[in-house]
Amino acid sequence: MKQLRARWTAFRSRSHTFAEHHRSATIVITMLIAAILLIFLPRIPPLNAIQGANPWYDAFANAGVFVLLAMGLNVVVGLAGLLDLGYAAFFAIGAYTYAYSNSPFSGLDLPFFPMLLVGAAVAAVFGIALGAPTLRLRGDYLAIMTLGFGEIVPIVFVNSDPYTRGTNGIGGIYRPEALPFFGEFSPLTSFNYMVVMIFIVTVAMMLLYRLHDSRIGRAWMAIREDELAAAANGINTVLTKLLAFALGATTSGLAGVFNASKLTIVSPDQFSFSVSFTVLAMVIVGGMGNIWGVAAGAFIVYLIQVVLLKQLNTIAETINLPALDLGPIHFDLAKINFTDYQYLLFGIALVLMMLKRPEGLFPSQARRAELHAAEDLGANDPALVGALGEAPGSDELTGGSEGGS
Amino acid sequence: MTTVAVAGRRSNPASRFLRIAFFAVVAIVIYQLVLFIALQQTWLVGTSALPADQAFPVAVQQTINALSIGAIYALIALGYTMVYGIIELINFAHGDVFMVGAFLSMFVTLGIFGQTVGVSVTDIPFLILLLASALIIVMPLTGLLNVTIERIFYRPFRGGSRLAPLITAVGVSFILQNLALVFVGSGDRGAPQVFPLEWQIKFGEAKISVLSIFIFALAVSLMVALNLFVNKTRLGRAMRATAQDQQAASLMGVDLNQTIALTFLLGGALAGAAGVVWGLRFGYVRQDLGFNAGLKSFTSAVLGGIGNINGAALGGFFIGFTENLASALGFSRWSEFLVFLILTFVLIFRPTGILGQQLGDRA
Amino acid sequence: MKLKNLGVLAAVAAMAFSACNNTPAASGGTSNKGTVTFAIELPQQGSEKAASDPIINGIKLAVTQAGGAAGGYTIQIPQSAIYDDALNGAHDAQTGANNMSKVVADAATIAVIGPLNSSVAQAEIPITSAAGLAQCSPANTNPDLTKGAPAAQLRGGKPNNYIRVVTTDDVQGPAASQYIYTTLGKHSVYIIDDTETFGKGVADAFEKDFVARGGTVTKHDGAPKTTQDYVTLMTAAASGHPDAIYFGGVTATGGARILLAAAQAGLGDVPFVGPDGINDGSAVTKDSFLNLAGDKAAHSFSTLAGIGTFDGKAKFDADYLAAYGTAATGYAAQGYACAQVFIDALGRAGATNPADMTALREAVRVAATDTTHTYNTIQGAITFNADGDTSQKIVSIYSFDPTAKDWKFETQVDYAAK
Repeated sequence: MKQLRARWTAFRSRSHTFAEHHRSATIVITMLIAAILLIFLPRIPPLNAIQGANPWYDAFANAGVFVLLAMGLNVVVGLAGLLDLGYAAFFAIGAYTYAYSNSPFSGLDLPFFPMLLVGAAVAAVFGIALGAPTLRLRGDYLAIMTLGFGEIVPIVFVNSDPYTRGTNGIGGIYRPEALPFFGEFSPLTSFNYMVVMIFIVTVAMMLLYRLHDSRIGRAWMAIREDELAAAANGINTVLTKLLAFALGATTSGLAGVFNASKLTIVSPDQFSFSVSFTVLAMVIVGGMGNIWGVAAGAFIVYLIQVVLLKQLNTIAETINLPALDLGPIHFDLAKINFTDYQYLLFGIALVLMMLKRPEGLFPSQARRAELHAAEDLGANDPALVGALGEAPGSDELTGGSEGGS
Repeated sequence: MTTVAVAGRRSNPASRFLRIAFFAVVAIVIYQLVLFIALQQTWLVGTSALPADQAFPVAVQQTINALSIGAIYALIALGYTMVYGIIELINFAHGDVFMVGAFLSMFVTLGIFGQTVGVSVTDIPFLILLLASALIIVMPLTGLLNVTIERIFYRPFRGGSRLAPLITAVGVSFILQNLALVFVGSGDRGAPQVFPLEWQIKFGEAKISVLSIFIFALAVSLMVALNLFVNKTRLGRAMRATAQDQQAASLMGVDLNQTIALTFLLGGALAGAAGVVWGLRFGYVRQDLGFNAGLKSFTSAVLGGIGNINGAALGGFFIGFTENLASALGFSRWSEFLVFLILTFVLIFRPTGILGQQLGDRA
Repeated sequence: MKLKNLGVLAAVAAMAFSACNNTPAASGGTSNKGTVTFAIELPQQGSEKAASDPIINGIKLAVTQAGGAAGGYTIQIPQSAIYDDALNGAHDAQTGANNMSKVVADAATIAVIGPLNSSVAQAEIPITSAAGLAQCSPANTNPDLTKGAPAAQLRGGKPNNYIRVVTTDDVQGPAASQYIYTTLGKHSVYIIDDTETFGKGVADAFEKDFVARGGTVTKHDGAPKTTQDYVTLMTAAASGHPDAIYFGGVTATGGARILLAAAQAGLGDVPFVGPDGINDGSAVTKDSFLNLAGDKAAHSFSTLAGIGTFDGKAKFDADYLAAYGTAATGYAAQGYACAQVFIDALGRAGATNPADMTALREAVRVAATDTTHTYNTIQGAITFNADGDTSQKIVSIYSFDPTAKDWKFETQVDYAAK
């Protein structure tokens, strides 16, 4: 037993060393393992009893969209510490870009893979256009500005009938061209979409990790921790923040292109605030700043949302519970619709995570140490514990969560 | 954070009130004129352009409408601005506190007074009793809700980073909204319009509903009361001190927790009052009401200069007038767009708002 | 009665094996070829639940009354095959597409009934079409789903699989227009829509027809469902002195709010006409238009893109009441008709003895979209054209009945000849 544990520890430390030195290789290997798991999992009980293989692949591909979105938002919120509440707007811009390039509405039929980059680039342009003037403002204004932007974009799409087909949206969008070996893309072969998505996520993850470990990544984190200090150390904060913001928009646009090519219709109502909120909840649950954690968090949260909650409905209806009647409030327990609770659960999860576990479900070691440093310090140094335990202006995330109250 | 008090603003409150009232009347008259002229322009409103004799009463009525919705936005905006002034947090959940207030008011009139949807009360003493009870029951409840939110969700972050409570606030907003979704469903709920809509004052051709006057009067009296409280009482002084410098205030013996809780209490109570008049005015309540109303009210607060109580009231009316103008001229599809456009421009070109930020001197 | 119990038993059994739709339920003995599933895909949250529940009941009633079998197959509708495309209280196209990918993956499912909303249908038809699964909507009224180039794009080159038993907005809008112009004799109208697919579509169709008849449109506003202040809009509307108000939209996007605001702005006595989106139950139905509007609904009218009175209506209403304890409202009969069409199609498909479920699914699709076949549905004899649109182009007009506090059938307009 002891021997086993020793071996495990040795293996862990060796794999950690490997991961640190060969980041990209680790990502590729992990994603390959994930891909193999995703291919075979739907065929094993109990998963195969819930739904067939293709709906699973379909769900995985859709989950991938949210994984991408979450990884992008993570750069903005998690790394640079900027709250972007209009993230769905860039998703919409990417989706509409693809719709214009690949639909009977525009008459164009451009190849899918280059369009991924074009859609991302268009979203980036909008990201820069929005970010450039607003990133000079303080952080909470950015939140409200992006929230407003997120509301405006669908309104513009709805009200620009001749250019966007208004509220109907653009339908009949062409699917990607057939792949060699894999064949046609169709709703019946979501496998292809999943494979492409795994590929995109892998590439995105490698690029994001590169940035994360680079000078820019460190600059982001420096700004997140203390913008003033970062500026004093010669970091061009506006430019650095803009880069993070644009990168988030880019990833969102990329996800938008993919989603449009899969759903084959884009309409303004697909890009409401609840999308932005869902992605934010995913980032928080996965652990702000932690790329792997956020990706895993998004994947799991999405599957809970589209598979687990629907399953619970079926179970709740089987067990016939009585109704609860409290005057104006009528509560039929047997007919509880768990999907009704979806955003409530997201809200609770988000708040609980912020209060109790800000490092997320899958914390990275460094971030964890960072976040709990204040706590440890506070425990040792009674002078720091008190109503005003933390120095004002210290941008330590939840630094005062335990010591302050 | 600290702003030096402008000497003029520290002057006698009565004369200040008169000055504000004077400017308000001027602004209203100007708006009426703008609307009066715009309504006659064929290039602007197309075939629905009105001749001058018809445009005038419409302009008067629309101005009254704008004052009603503006009063509601202003009441909500006060809560945003006070909270921001004191702890520099955008309380995203504030709009949803307003929504809860609207629901509570509905429950009070339906449940306690046994009113039915669509039936108004013409018996004046009973109407006064009903409205007063609704306000007396709802305002403390929403105030307490706001205090509870602060105690549970925001206080643990105090003194820490600003991002964490901001994200938490978004989460709390979603929790409130979705609790309402679970308990009352996603559709509209009929709120009893107990205030008789037939009560109207004829002003030439224009008919002004007494309800609009009631809403406006209620909002203004609450604002005046708040102003007096903040400026004239010990607790109000503690609030101003805390907003100016938390640490210094604390050292001078101000109980921070109590003061911040008080701020949330007042903000929540004002949102509750807005909820009560909302039901009277529009006859429905729904669970996602707080999102848009909150967004617009926050915009109002920013517009007026966040942290500034008079600014929030001014901003609320400004947004009310803006929306009203868009709807009155047939651009209702774009009215939200217009509001956010204003927000964008204000934030970019004058981030301190119309009246400027007065985090310290917030009255 | 016995059969009904069997249906319940089958449903319970299916629920127990929640995911295994293919599990053959206890069959009545008459069928021996196996069990097939009719899937249902409708939004079941918020106010849309009030519209969907009668449809689901109507479908179940049709299957039960047909003996739960056709063409030698037992038909079941397990709870797990009833999908909900609502998200956060309202229909959602992405959720609908997710559901449909599950529906088409289930081998035993040979037909699907739904969705309620045209925007959801736009995301679903490409999926059912690719899978060759017959789909019947009891409520989609957007013309683009079946007609012309937009519909061809949705089908993606596959043969048609989508039919609907209701007529389209380009008939529903004009029907309201005809009623206002001719029957009510009101020649100037104010139009307001909710800027959503259905609401704007039907309002535009209305406007076009009303203008063509020589009527005046005082103004056409668009107010998204997030609009706060409807009183301002109605004050502006009142300045045009319209003789009637036409609302394009549904209750959840502002139907009753607009009516209440109109009353405040002095338009309380002006007829208020809306599409089927406001015909969502009596005043006692939670969330319904009449419930919210109260007495202000006195001058309200609504259209329903389907037949309002038909030969078997009394019996249908009685059967429905007996089975579910509530009155049949909204599109209950349309749900019933969709199920009837598929039962009929399954009967004919079963007669060809398909080799397996895949062949059966295709046979049902072919049978259901057969343009030469006349279906004897509860709504009368109907055929489907090559686009999948019904030959029955009847729009019913309802008015508010203050004593029953419910919609009262007024008249119906038949557009088939026009």
